[in-house]
Amino acid sequence: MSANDVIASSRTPLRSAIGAALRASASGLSGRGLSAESVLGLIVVAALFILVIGPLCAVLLQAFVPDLFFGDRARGGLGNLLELFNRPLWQRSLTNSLTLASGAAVIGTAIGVGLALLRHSYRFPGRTSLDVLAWSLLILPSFVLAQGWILFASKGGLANQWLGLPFVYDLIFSPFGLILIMSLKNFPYAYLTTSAALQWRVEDHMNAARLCGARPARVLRTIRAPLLLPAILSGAVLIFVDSIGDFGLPSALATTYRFPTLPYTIYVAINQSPIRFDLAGVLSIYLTLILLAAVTLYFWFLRRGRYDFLTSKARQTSAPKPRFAWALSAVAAAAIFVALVLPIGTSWLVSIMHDIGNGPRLDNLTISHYAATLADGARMRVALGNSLWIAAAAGIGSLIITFPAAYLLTFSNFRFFNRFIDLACTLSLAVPGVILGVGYIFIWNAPWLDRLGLSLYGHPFILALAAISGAVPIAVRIILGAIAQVPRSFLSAAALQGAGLGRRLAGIVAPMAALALVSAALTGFGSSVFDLATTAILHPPGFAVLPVHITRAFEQGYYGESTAATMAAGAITVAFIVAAQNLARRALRRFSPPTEDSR
Amino acid sequence: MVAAKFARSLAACAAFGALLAAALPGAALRAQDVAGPLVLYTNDFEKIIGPRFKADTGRDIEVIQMSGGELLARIAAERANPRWDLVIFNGSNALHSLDQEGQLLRGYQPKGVAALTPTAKALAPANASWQPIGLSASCVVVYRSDLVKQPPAGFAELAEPRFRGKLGMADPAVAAPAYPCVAQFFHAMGDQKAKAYFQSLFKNDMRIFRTNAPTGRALQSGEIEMALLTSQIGYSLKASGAPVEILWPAEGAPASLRGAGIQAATKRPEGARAFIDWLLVPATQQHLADQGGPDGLFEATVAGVKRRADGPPEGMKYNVAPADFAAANEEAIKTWFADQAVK
Repeated sequence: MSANDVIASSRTPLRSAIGAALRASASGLSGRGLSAESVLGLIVVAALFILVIGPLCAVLLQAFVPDLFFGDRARGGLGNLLELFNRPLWQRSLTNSLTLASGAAVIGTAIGVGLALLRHSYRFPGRTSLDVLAWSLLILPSFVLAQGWILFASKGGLANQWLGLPFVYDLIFSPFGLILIMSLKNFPYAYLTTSAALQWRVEDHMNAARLCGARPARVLRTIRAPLLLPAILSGAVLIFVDSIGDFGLPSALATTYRFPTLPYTIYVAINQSPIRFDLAGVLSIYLTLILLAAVTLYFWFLRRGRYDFLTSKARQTSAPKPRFAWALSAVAAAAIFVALVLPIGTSWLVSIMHDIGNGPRLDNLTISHYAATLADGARMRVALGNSLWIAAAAGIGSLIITFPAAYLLTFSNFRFFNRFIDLACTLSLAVPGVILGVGYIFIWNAPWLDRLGLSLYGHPFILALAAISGAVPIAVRIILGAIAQVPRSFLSAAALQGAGLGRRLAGIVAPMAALALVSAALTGFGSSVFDLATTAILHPPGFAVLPVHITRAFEQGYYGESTAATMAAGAITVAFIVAAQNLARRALRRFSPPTEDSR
Repeated sequence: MVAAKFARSLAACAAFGALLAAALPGAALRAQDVAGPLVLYTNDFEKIIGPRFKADTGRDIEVIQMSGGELLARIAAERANPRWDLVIFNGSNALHSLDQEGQLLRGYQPKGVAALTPTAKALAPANASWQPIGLSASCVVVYRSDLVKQPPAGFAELAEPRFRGKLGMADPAVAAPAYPCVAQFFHAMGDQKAKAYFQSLFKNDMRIFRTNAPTGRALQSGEIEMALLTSQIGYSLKASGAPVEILWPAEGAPASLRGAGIQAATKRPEGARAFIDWLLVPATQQHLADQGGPDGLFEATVAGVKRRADGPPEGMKYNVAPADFAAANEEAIKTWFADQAVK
């Protein structure tokens, strides 16, 4: 039975009744107590509370009760909230952050949707490489890209020194340049959400429009684009949220006072001595409110229209090969070059040269930076090993949380819980990592936890927890996309046969979304290797971590060592991801029953 | 008879104790300390402190390096349950604030305190809550000798129209050594005059970079032609062959004092004291100077340390804003600076 048949058959009254019964059983309390879904929901909510909401609330509360965790509650109040209207730096930061995030959302969405339309509307050589590009950009941390862009576009960089393009400096190191690079970094959100929606095409609507004489552009504007609106908006909101919480790119590319942003101003608040966690808390509240507003707007848009357009006539995309396939390949190549090859390629060039200022000469080439990075006992090598272990734990941990979370979001009717899960899974994108890190210290360094022997602060395990919270937003979206294609009727049938929740998850949902589950774990792994912000403030004594060493070397001007470590770690990470994905594919093929097509 | 036996036993015990103490150096010293290595939070020297301290004293120390802001944030967040034993920070204002919060152990007079230079003695806190271990200029004027044909004679000239858009400095709100620079101007000139001075620099389109490192990079690439930079970065640039010259005004340059302190409730007090003692040994400061790269370009605080050839020459004047003044006015000065700069 194909998915389309399932969609069609699930509309029969009997199947609808079964579906309703399943939803009812999943929606909360049954006569004998909590249902299995409810228990699972509570576990997921508790896990997200521990990982994201708890630490964040610990910081947000500082805005009102600054010494909450130190036993002195004399100070406090709401006065700091109004600082926004008095402080020029705060006002400028707010407007800059909104400008940056909105600009990146508009341009990034345009790029992402455009590339997704090309990718899924036509067959052309290299189209799958756009998927690789999108995932690579999602995994790469902004500080690695920022370092690449600095090495490329600064006055002493490649563009000016080697290529004689001085205008690149003025373009990149400006607010518009920052918006552009932020768009290039974050467009994958729009690309992936739109790609997921484009998996299915509703030919009836489009055929009708064409029969009425509509040209392809009009079909796109009046049929496809409106139907894609939820996916496009979802991508735009994610770009907005990720851009507004990003500290690395703005602080590296914009001279601070020319373009201060809210995360930068939060950083300023915790750089004062005595430290002002209360001001950091206030600014984090504003960031969180902006995030809530963006998500609310998104849901409001969705409620205004009807988007349940999938019918039995929906078909999986089978794209035609156009005459101008070469031109589309060129567009894909250009996107890959500008978004990835330019910054990462520059870092790679720096990593194999004695001094980039000496130009592309043979006697300027060296492998000494790699030798120093990977030498036995070298700090970078130790740090790389530690970061890979933390990342592996984060990959598995994020999967353990996001798989049930995605299941509940798709198949349960827990209105409040689902909103909570959705918000918690997005929040860590918007809140700067250093703030989450401070929250982790507040929570996990509490003296009473220490007395119970439960204090995780000072143990590498806390880095894994922080990395999981960072990996959750992307991992949950990967799994959501796959689980959405699991027919509800399968689960209903299994439930009627007496299969419990665990069996339904293990026997139906997990096998059908297996590849996505592997991808989610690997994405969590990839994004955690370089996670800087939280590890910088949380790394325990005697436990070196890679991103801290890379940024320290870069700050000290050791560009060769810094870029060599980035490249070596990146290569190992990518090799591991590719190998694991291939192994998973083979294993799945081996254990899956043969299909009609494969016979 | 019994008394003689007792005396013999006592002598034997004493001899055994002496033998044990000789065989296990440091055992008596560590008697009060809980097990485990010392934990040091620092914003520099992270690679060279641990191995040398272990070699010199036999003690283990775990060094956690963070930027100035992250380090202070971590210490503040840990306040209810501190995990550190020692701190090294470049900025006496922050050390003074930590002391005011009760985070530093007061009253320990290290063994080498007598060897402190007169300058260091004058800058050390009266309550001995931390000890000065290095002095450096938080801002000197570093200019491109190939681009600036008529260099300025002092800080005041930086506001002249001929230098419009050509000057840059690190952000005092983020870069640890940049605040002592600004604080010294406020201390030396007074509030109104200092504000007027910095406003004239802002009107002259002074560029503000996040920290000193990118400011130095901008100077090296020609993005700016002059910078208020730390003496460490200025002299490192010069030593690397970059076409830069350094203007160190005769009246002295604003300076930053690096200090080391012990956590007030440390569970390893003996080891922590031994670390502070070790920092005031001339050979230790010589090691930090020789092996510390750019960070090693500092003025030693104990006598007997040989000056590095690539660093500031002898006789330079360092003006450090008093720690209590810099700490008391930190929020007001940083807030004013940040708000003016965005206008």
